[in-house]
Amino acid sequence: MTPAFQLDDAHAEDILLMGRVAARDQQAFARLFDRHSPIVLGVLTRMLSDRALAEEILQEAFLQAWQQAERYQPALATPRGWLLMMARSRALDRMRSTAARMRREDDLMREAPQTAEGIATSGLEADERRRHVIAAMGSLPAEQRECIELAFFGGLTHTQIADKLQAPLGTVKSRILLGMNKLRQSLASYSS
Amino acid sequence: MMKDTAALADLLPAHALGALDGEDLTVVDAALRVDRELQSAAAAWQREVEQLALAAEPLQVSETTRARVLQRIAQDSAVRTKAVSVVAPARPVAPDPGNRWLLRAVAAVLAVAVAWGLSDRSNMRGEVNRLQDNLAQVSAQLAKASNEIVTLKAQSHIVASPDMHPVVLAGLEAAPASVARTFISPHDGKALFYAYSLPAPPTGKQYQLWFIADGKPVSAGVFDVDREGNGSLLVDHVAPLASIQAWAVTIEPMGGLAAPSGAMVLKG
Repeated sequence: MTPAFQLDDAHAEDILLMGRVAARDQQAFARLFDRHSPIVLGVLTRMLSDRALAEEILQEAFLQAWQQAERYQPALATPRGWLLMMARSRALDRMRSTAARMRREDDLMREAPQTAEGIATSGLEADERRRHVIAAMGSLPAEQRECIELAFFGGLTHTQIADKLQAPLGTVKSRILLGMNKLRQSLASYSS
Repeated sequence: MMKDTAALADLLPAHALGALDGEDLTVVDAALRVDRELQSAAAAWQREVEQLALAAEPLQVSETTRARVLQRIAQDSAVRTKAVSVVAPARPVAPDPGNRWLLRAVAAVLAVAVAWGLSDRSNMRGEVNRLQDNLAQVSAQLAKASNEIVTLKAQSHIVASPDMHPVVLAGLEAAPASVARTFISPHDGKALFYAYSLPAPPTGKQYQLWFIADGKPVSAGVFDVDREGNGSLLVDHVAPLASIQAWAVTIEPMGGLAAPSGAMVLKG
């Protein structure tokens, strides 16, 4: 079942900010940047294993958001989700255009255990929510978590994950489906 | 190869993660173009996937990057301003605490002046008049701010609508540098319209917004523009989205007409 769409205060403020950004309000853009750039940079740095490159991609993604703000559709994604989608897409393009993928994947796998054990919070995101997401990820069977992280942070497809893990394609698909369904349940219990 | 709905739904988590490839990706993308229920489910999975971002440690962006981004958008705005004078959008207006304080202070001074009997009436009368003027001014400001809050609440309701649909209106020959945006909330049949850089209408004329529904123009209201040619309008009754073919702005006699008669300046 599809979970109900929830509009909490932070999300509502984000949507209002997006409306103002679409109307070319630079202050609203600055506010949106300050609210979400830490999370976006965190994801990009995890994906690229290169802080400088991550900041460069972040800059491109936020400029794209400024230029395309009127195309944003609240029904399809939250403003943060929309920003992350653009940032991840740009990061994946960059990753695919370089020959350093193997090194990054190795770095990613070295970082992966952090997710299960929890990472120090920075106070920039609601700590409780973050702890819950980390705990939910940590509660997944290792092979499911590994596949999800390789897809989300590593930018790998089903086929590429199967190649990397030397696992049957069907097994990888099942691990992702099962893992995501478990995550949804865990996150829904937090929301409720 | 065709897949049934359940099989497609099972692919949505991987689609949201960006993990689909090959035939799976082709089939899901094709289904998403036509299946609204699947679109809704895909959007829900996107929101789940978004939360995975919280598993990465948030990092503070360097001041250099922040300054560079804000500088780039300022430059972008400046470039646009040359062609299209972009109006500062409506901002949430909170009741000004300063105004409230002033209102109370003025009222208190008046009360004290009256209580003391105004021994030197000739000197005090002028001061009382001045304070009363201030009080009237501040009251008017508060009333204006209250109205703005009501309007902004209505506007924010439209913009925050989960099914909000934006439409861009481009300037036509009569106003090539103008542009407008309509934000429609199909859910409650309301819309928010902003126009930028319209030329001042001829004397006795006003701009009128229309939507073309089922081939017929329907008036959405008239609006004025400021010195920079910017104007806005809150539309209370909008036809169902599927029946609207276009939005347009024409120049009409003051107060507007039931059917368009003047030059069309914007269309989208």
